[in-house]
Amino acid sequence: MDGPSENTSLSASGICKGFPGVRALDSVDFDLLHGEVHALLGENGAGKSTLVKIFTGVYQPDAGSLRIDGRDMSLRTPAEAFQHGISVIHQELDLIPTLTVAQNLALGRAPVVSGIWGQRFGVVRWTKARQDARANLDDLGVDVDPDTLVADLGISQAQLIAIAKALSRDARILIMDEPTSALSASEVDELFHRVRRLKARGVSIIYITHKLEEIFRIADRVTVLRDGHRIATLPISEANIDRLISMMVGRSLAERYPRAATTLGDTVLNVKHLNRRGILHDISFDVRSGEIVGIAGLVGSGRTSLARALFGADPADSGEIVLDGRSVVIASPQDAINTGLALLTEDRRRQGLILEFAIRENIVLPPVHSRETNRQYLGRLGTVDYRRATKVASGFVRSLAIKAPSVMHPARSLSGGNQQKVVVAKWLATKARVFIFDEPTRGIDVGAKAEIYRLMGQLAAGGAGIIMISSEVEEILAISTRILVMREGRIVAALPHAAANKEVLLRYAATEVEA
Amino acid sequence: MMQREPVSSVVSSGAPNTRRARASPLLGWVRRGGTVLVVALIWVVLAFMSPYFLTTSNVLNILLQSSNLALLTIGETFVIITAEIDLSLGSMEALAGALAAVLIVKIHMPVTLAVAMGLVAGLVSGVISGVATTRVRIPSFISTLAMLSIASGAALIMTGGTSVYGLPAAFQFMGQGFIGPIPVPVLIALVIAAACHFVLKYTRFGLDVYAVGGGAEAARLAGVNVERVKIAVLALSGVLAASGGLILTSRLNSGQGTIGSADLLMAIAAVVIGGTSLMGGIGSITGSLIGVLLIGTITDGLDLLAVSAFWQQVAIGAIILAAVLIDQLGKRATGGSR
Repeated sequence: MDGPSENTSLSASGICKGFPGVRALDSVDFDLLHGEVHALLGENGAGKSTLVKIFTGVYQPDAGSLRIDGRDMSLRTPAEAFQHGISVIHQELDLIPTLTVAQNLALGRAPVVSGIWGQRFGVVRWTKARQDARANLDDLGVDVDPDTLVADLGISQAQLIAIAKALSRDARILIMDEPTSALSASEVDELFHRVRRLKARGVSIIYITHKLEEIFRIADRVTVLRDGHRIATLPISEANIDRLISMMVGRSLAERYPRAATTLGDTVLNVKHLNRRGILHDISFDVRSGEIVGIAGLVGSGRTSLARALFGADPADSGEIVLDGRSVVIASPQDAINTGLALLTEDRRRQGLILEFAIRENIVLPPVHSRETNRQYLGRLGTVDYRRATKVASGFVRSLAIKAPSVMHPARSLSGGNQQKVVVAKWLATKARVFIFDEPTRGIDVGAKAEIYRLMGQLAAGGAGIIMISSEVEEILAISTRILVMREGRIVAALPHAAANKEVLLRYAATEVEA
Repeated sequence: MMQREPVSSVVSSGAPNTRRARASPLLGWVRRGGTVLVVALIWVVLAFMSPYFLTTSNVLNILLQSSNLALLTIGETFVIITAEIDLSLGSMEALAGALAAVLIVKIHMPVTLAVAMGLVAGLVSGVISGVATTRVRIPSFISTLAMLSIASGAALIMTGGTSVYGLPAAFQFMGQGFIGPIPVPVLIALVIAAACHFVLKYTRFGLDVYAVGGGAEAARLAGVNVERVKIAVLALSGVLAASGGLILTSRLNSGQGTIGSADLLMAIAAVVIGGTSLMGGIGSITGSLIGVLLIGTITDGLDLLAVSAFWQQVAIGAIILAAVLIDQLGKRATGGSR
């Protein structure tokens, strides 16, 4: 891989980029061949996004050069990168939900009628625009009506529209940033099928993901970045997960999934015949102290609904919840907090944290609303003892190793892993006994994942009961002491750790067998 | 394998981060100081342009003229921090003032009781808007717009569209009295401002107000009773607007169904100039008071310079634009990295 060859679509050599206080990229080389899927791996902060921003003209490198199709090129603005055929498919799609597919595709380059009406007043030939859209979609093999509103499409379809939009603008280099993070397994298959077609047409793709398993299905080569350096570029045939992880984190993770030795205690949570009309059906299970109960199932099987019902966010219609031997009524999150439940939602940024708040305010918010703990924080006149809040928050920042300059640091600017730790801290502050984790490691990089698992292990070892909902089968298998499988709002199987494997879980989750 | 980093613990008391959280504290100070600086600059300019401007009586006059707007603005600040809005402020003034005047003049109710009834009218109206917003899920923009029309109509019905005269001296004290050299309305506004500042900065309710605006779902899942907070801020806004209306009625010495109609937009302008985000979650009473002072100063100064009221409107509009522009520039300078 020395020097740009005939076949190189994009090559970068010796790229350096610094920001005040950080060396984001240090002499990074990267090359992308025509018709290649090149995976770009690295933990958060490794330099992936900086490199992508240099490829897309958002940042200018301090040193180094870029070549496109063998010619030296400097990309001074995103528009220039775009003109050279470089497009990014972001996690948040750049589509306008209130417009139709055809309108989105036509945006900025709509065909206009001839003469003064088109030139001056921009009267659009919508029939032509629709036909163009149809042709674009057919080209990609996407079966969507161009008159559909983007808001009415599923995420996977919208993603395909975004790809079609890029291709309709002659994109030859596509950068896909975590394209599968919101997709189900079958949608991922669909997407990969399309990606292979693009490859065959000579489109080059830079593929960024946290899901390492994926790259073995789709990538030709993989480049690993760490701390702004390129660690290696290798053909996928020479890579394996353990090797990639050790390259990413810079140490061999003896265990990807650390487990704490725990002893099981008494039952802390006992759920009996919980129902929520049309959503949850006769859910019964229990959780013992020291246990991590995994809940597996497909997206839409009712796992998140169960979590929200237990926590009183969308209360159950009937059934009984027994905590520490006492039957409790949970009609609101407030009730749940009073009884010692904690919910760590899958959507941290919208539901788990108040991003404008500092770490301290996020941590102090639940305990001041818990009957158990509010007296420690509230003064006469309903004042909050912020001095104490600072002390408590600082304690958690230390004990959970939250990386932040101070407890007054806004939650917005923390990495995913550190945000998750702040969420854990705010529930620890309520002295919760049962923790419900919904997709605890979504969007968190490999090194931080291990820390979250270790944290869950410590909570369990400390006597808490833990429920972990996860779509990552490996995670469920590795972390749980016991696994429940949900399908269509029911628990269809309860498996001890030893009896579970990938095939068994998938069979229960996806088919009609009963345990 | 956890990396432990020494974390300096910052011991400070008080207050969710009320400025834009991503701004550094220093920049926050510079920007907060920015608006203060603008006010100071205008004072200096006006002091040179008009010899009367910096006299004690004129300064007290600015404060007196601003005290009514201050009360409205304080309530609106709470509402806007929760990412809602109260459009009924002006007509709430008219309703409370007209109700008290009619009760006193027509049915000879004792002054204190009539004033209390005026405040209760504001409270009840606010609660109704709040319940409509939270339980019935009508956006506050609509529910308080409806309340604006209802309250305004009710005030006109009660007064029959004319001025209600014959208010007793006891009622005049609230708007026209002095304690020492300080006009009573100024004292009322200052006391209420101090109390509301305390509530917002140091109490759990204040924390909840910021939390609801910063992320309603996250707040609910952290145990905050989001509906109750929203009802409470709209009720508070109603009561404060009513108190403003009572003071205004006392100063006019007559009950009128048409007072306060221009106050709503001025109150929103003051909130925005004060750095409160219309998206919710960010804002402060002190900022809003600076906004009120800015508007009061300009109105007074332009009066002294004999600028027509029409041009004053143009000037105030320009200042709102300038204030928001400064805010945006500050955001661009401090945010947007990475």
